[in-house]
Amino acid sequence: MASILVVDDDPDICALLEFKLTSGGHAVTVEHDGEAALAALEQQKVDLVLLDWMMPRMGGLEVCLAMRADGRYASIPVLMLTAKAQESDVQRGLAAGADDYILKPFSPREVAARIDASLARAVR
Amino acid sequence: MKGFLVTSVIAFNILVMTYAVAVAFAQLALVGGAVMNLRRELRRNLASRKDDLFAHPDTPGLSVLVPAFNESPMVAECLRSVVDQRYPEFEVIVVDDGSTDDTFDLLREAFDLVPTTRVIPQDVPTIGRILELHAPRGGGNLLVIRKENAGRCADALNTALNAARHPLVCTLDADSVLEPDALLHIVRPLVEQPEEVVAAGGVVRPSNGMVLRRGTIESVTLPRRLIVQAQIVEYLRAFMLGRIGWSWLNSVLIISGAFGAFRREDVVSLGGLHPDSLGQDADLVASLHRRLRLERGKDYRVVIVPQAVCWTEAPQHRRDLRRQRRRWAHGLGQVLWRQRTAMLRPRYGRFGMLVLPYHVVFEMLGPVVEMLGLPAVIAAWWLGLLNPWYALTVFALAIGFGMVVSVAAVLADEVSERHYDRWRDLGSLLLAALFETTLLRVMMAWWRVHGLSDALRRRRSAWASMPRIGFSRAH
Amino acid sequence: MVDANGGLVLRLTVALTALVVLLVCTTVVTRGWRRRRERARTAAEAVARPLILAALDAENSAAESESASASESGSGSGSGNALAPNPPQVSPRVGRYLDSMASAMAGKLRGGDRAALVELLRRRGSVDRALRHCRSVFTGRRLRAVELVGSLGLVEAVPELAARLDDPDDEVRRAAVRALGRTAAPDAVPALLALLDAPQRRESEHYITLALLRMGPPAVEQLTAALRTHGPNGRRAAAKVLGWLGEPHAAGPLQAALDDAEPAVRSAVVEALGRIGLPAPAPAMRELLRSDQPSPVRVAAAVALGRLGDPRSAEALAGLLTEPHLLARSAASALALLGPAGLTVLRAHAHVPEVGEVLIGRADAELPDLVTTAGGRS
Repeated sequence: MASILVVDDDPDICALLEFKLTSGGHAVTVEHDGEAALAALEQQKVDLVLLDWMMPRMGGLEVCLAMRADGRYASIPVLMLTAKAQESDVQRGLAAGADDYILKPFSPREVAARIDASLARAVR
Repeated sequence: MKGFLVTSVIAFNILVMTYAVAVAFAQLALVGGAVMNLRRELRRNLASRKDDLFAHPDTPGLSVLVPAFNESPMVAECLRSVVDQRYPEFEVIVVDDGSTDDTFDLLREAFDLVPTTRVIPQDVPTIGRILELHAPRGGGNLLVIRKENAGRCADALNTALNAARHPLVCTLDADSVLEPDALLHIVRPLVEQPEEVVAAGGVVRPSNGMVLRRGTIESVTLPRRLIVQAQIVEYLRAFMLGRIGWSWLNSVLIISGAFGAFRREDVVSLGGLHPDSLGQDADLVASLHRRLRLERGKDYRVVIVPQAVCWTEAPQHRRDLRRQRRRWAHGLGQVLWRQRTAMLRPRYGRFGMLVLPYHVVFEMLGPVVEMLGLPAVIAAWWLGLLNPWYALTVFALAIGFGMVVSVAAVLADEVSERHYDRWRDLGSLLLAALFETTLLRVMMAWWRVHGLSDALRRRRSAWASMPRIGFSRAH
Repeated sequence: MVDANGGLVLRLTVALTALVVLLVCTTVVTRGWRRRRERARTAAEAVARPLILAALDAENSAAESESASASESGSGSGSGNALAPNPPQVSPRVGRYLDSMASAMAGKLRGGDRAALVELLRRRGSVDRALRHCRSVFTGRRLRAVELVGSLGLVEAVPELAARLDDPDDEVRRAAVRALGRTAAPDAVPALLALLDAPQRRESEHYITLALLRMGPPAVEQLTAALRTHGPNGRRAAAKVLGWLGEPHAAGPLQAALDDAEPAVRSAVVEALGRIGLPAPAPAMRELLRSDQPSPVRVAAAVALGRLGDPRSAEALAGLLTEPHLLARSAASALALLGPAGLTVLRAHAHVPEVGEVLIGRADAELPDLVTTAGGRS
């Protein structure tokens, strides 16, 4: 049981991930833009963030950089979920401090498995 | 003496009548073209095209060129909407053309700028010397060039063009806000048909009444001032009907410099933008047309993309509006003068035979005829020649047709993309359409005659800035 | 006379006024109609979304086995599987939204969950209907059908989709190209590439290469073969896609294509070899830096050699530093990727502005006084 923040501007994807992760036993918060995501981090304890890259009001990369620069959130695992498929993008995403990089179209089961793996590593 | 006067008044009145009928038919043709084009566009699955362009590893890079001169109230907020656009690979090059206000300081603060360096080839000639280059501290897709003011917007654009490193370039005014995905939309024709499309223009709308949050449009309400509402209708008419109609004929002459995309090599091979032109954007498109008509014949296209929307502030006060329109008319005069050798020459195809004559007769001389119409009516009355029914017919044609077209523009906007969501706004917009075709049009005609006379006297005028209000910001 | 004219002006005024009123009414009606449709849509989606999510949950286990045999089970809708629950019963209107939502969602997914959505639509009979509608005489219906089977990535739809590649409607053709990309059926590769060299070219190369890229590894064999057999546009596209796929097995055939007669193909081939990243073709790639090659080929070769990172390329790249801006810049950026050997060359050419720009990014000790304008040499 972990608290997961899902940030994506696509309502379909949000609904799907919320459903999947909730039925996987996690508490899920959904936000649709980067600014709101940072606000949500302020308000509650979050164990893991699932971030889209391209969003209105602050992209995922900026959110990731902001989190890594802030001592309170620096250790929260971040998974990037994005359609930006070029290898240079993957490099940039990981360099910004993302722990994992998942390409769209994605497999929700794979995402759930990666989240569990990340959470297990973070606990240790 | 009186006989001559009578003949000339009658002749002129016949001319005005013919002109009014011709305007009506030309407008109808453009509305028809626009309807055909919108029909075609609305059928397209744009969402999937956008996603594909974004995901494609081979979507060409884009350099957004932003000339800025004393733009302080809004420049940072506007650039935020550009820098955060969804596009695979792009850079934003802002040229601070020797601003005397705090434009640069605001930029430095908003984007955490630090001095940087970049080799800038002299691909097209420029006038103002480059003073310094800045980029965000953590890296990023923004470059700010500070240069000496050369009194010309075109020089700032040429400097940015030299610095641009991507195959596509897009010009953008510093006071513009882009809708999400506007960049993907505007390059779409250039990427889908790389061999045919040479330039693509966006749709410009007045941004007054818009609320922004972090470069994203929060809401748009119709502004209160009638003069601004009327301009909104006017922009709708110019873009949703006029230019989209021309686009259907592949004969767009004016791509607004406020938001237009080109291939860098094309602009470079024309020697950049014409430094002395006030309408450097129209001048560029006209020169492109001219060269490609000779080189490729009919095999190229200049298009308008209805979904690529850019919001830019319209003047709030009559004085500023007057100055703007006078400058535009002056610029148009310059452009048409530069292209005079292509006028009515069959080897320039549609460009020489249709586009240029249309713009001379209806866009450039239109206001002159309208302004002379009134004294002609008075003269006819004084000479006892006035047939009231005739006068009324001309009047009904001019005003009535204007109204039909303006309301059609509001409808076109409603069908394609609706922006003013409240019923009340729709009502005001329709009322403004009526005002726009009557009073405002007379004022505009008067200012445009002024602009034309400026052009005839070859007056030089520097690019002056308009007093900006800035956006409402939501925090 | 006056009467006739008066009649004319009256008629004109009435006609124009009527036209204005008509347009105003149309505007108002359009807005009202759109609002209603949006409300209906929101309501229908609120009903459909939980149904879709429930289907995903229920079929989590069942779908996995089915997805493997998806291509064979074209024997009819809703057949067989006794374990699977019946499709949700909904009104036809909600059903339409359910179909389009489920297929849109399937387009964003991979793996078992996509298979579950395919199964849901199959049991609703929507898949069979779409396959039939691929040949409908109505363009709109054809388009929707092609888009649906495309986002589901149905292998059994490939012949139907291939037939749509010469549909009279350009939107349908494009949807067919896109759909074929999602099916990962390599049989369609030659047909897609052939579109690029068709006498009256109508399809956008951009979307065709993306479709080929989306097919992924299954397409490699056909793409490699195409390097020899297709026209110049097809060969170039095949080389590009092989590079993006980063397929090591393609390096040999690509290297053999380095001396293609078309410069545009050579550029694409050398770029692809750079992306694949095997060291063996490097000497052959360096040949493309020579001054008898067109400038775009030399730029592509420089970028590719930078990606390979082979220090033995330093010498050849150094020769480009004295060339015009674009070549010099590509060479300088490439040299920066070659490790110590590249850095030595760059330091020796520190007076070249393009080299200075690259070096400044590395916080090097002795920086040349940097010019920002490289006048005169472009």
